[in-house]
Amino acid sequence: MLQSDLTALWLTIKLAFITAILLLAFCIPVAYKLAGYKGKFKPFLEALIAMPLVLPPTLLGFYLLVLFSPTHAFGQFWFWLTGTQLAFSFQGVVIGSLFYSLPFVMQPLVAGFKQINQTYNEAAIALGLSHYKRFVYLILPLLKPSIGSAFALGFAHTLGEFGLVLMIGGNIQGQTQVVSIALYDHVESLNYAAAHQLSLILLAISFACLVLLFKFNKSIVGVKQ
Amino acid sequence: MSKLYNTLLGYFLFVFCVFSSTLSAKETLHVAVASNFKTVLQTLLQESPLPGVQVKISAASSGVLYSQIVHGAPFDVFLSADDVRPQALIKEGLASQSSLVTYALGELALWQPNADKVNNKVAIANPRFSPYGRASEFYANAHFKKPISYVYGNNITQAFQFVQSGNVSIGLVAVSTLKAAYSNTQNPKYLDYKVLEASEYPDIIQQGVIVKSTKKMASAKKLMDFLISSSTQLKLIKLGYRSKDSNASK
Amino acid sequence: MIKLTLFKALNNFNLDINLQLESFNIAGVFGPSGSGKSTLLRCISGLEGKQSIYINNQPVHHLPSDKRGVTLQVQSCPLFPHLDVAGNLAFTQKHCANRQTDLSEQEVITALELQPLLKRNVQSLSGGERQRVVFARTLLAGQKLIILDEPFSALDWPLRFKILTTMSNLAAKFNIKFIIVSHSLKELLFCCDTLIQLEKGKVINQGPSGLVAKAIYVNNKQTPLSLLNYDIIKFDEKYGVYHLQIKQSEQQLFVSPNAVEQGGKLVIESEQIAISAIKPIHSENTNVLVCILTSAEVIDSNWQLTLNVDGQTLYCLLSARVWDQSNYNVGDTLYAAIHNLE
Repeated sequence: MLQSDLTALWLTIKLAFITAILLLAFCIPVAYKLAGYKGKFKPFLEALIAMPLVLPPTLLGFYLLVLFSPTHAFGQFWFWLTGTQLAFSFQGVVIGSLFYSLPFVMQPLVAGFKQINQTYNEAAIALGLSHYKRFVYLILPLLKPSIGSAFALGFAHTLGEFGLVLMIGGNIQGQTQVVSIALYDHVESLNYAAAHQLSLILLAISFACLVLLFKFNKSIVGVKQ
Repeated sequence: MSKLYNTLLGYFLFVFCVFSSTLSAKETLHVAVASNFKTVLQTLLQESPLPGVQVKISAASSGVLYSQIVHGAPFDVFLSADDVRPQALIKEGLASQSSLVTYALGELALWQPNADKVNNKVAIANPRFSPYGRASEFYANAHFKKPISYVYGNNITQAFQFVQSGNVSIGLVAVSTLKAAYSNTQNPKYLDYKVLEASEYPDIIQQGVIVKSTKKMASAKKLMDFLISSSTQLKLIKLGYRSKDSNASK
Repeated sequence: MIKLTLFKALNNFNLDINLQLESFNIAGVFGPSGSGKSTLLRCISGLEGKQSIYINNQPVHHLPSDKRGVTLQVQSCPLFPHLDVAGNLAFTQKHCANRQTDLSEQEVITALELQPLLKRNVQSLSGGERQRVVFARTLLAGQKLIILDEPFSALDWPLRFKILTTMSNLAAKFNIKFIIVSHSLKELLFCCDTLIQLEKGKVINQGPSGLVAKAIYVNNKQTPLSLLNYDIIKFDEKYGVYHLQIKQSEQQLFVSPNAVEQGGKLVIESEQIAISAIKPIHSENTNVLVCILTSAEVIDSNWQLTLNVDGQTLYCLLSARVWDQSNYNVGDTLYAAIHNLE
């Protein structure tokens, strides 16, 4: 196996892991609020979060490229903050992946919170448990399976990310050349043997992720009484 | 009354359809064309349509089109962005050597639209599979201070986008892309480039072949002849390609 | 000690309640399903609506649920599935702040006979077992006002009477006030001292449970259930029966352990009672109580008689034919034979 492919593989796993962790940290509080929110903006918020599901990743990537540009306020702000440029950097790809995989992490969490809210949370409020105790001792433990699925989905979905990284990555080894890009390179340069090998590995990793996901789903306890 | 009107209208529509279908009894030619030549081909055919041939264009990257043809995609003509893939098709026995033509020679420009440098990255097309990329890399290695940190576009158009969006200061891009961008927007920043000397980088040869399995050989040949005709080649120079003559003189 | 003014538009009617409950230990809220019972409870506990509510003369309507000193056990209240039975019991005791009773986990487990269930997974419990554990968990939240919404609907009657008796004992011992919602008048009559009748979002009757219950029975053209308080004299081991004495009376009864173990009251349906004007022969060997006829009224072409047994009340029903032939008058001394006690 090519050294560059190994680098790409490691980079992809790192990217997927970091993305899934960051998304969990962001999505757990947001999903908690969203699951309990019943206002008139609910459909709009839900649609906004689901947007990356329907937007072509290349489109998302193109606008991120514009956003990251030093001619744009955001790009300038980031440069002022860190002294680096987001486009063609690992951080940039992470930011892109956060958008790209957001719905895959958010939706299982919202569903989990909704289910807990409807049955257990209300019972706990009525028992007289404070907000903090409910969240820490009841909701989070009950949410574990949903957190597991959200992580697995976010991770697996980021593994296969292509169009977006293609747009904002610039195909730099060890920085932005993820497996899907390396695969594309192999196909484009007619190096089918290397492509087959790499896809087989990607396939195996993704499959393992999904197996874990379904295992988590099965272990959800006490959904109905 | 309205019923009569409707029947009359229906009659006219029917007659119109019959006529137009007989009038447009052209042979449809399926052409697989590399993305960066798609709009150029459309422009050329719009200005002088091929008599009796209707060209249907499928655009994608040359690598994708190549593997589609290998796996039996029903294309009649393949216009690649390089010379490797058409020749690979001939080697595989899927295209005939006699149909191989060089229909265009790419021309490179150094483009730095903003005076202030945001970084020292250089945007080029990916040299692993793009002839523009190989030429760009060759030029940069000879002329730029090392080490060079490249940003690879998936094709020459993407290298252009990296510079256009302001994420990279310098790019080696196709003259044809810049000219197309200028004619679309009239923005003077697309005029501010330096055409590279043809002797300073290897030829960017864009070749095309007729797919062997085609049943429309005559129409396919018509298209090939049209592409290499001197009037078309003159037009291509205006659109940002090099003439074949300058190639010959090299 | 509870004063509330509620107004809330519900789907089919408005919940419009002005209620003042002064002294009670166990108050019952009775009403058909969809009469606004659950909403009333949710408002008191703070799950719904910002309504005017005073508990012990303190306004609580601005407080969140966990600061009101009230525990609500919602209808079909779930156990927490990530914990076993013991874990569920420990949960509220550990995490509920401001506990006001020193009711210990062990006391609750003993009182509700939960010892054999402690290690069980909550999914494996039957409906009745689950409701007992839920009730125990509610008690362990440690508040002095506990509101229960249909808490024992899955228990059969003997077990239900037993747990209601336990509840009464706990109320007395730990000075806990209960408000219990049920659509079963029998259940409420058995345990409550105060009864509130709700219909279409309004309180239509409120008062001592005996009076309100009787009014409801009469309204529904039913004969009320009779409850007799008693003291145990002894357990006759030879025959396996209890020997009871009616409270504030010399009169005695022989009763099977089943009926006694339910708790301090005998529940007597009108069908169990047969009356006569002359003392039955061998009355010492059967369960016969001497009583005085205090009123008789026609209910649906039958006669309902109210009998006074040394201060307690029995209700029984006679067909019009029997009534006409027997010629009883108010004030007569009658003999009530009570069947199916032994």
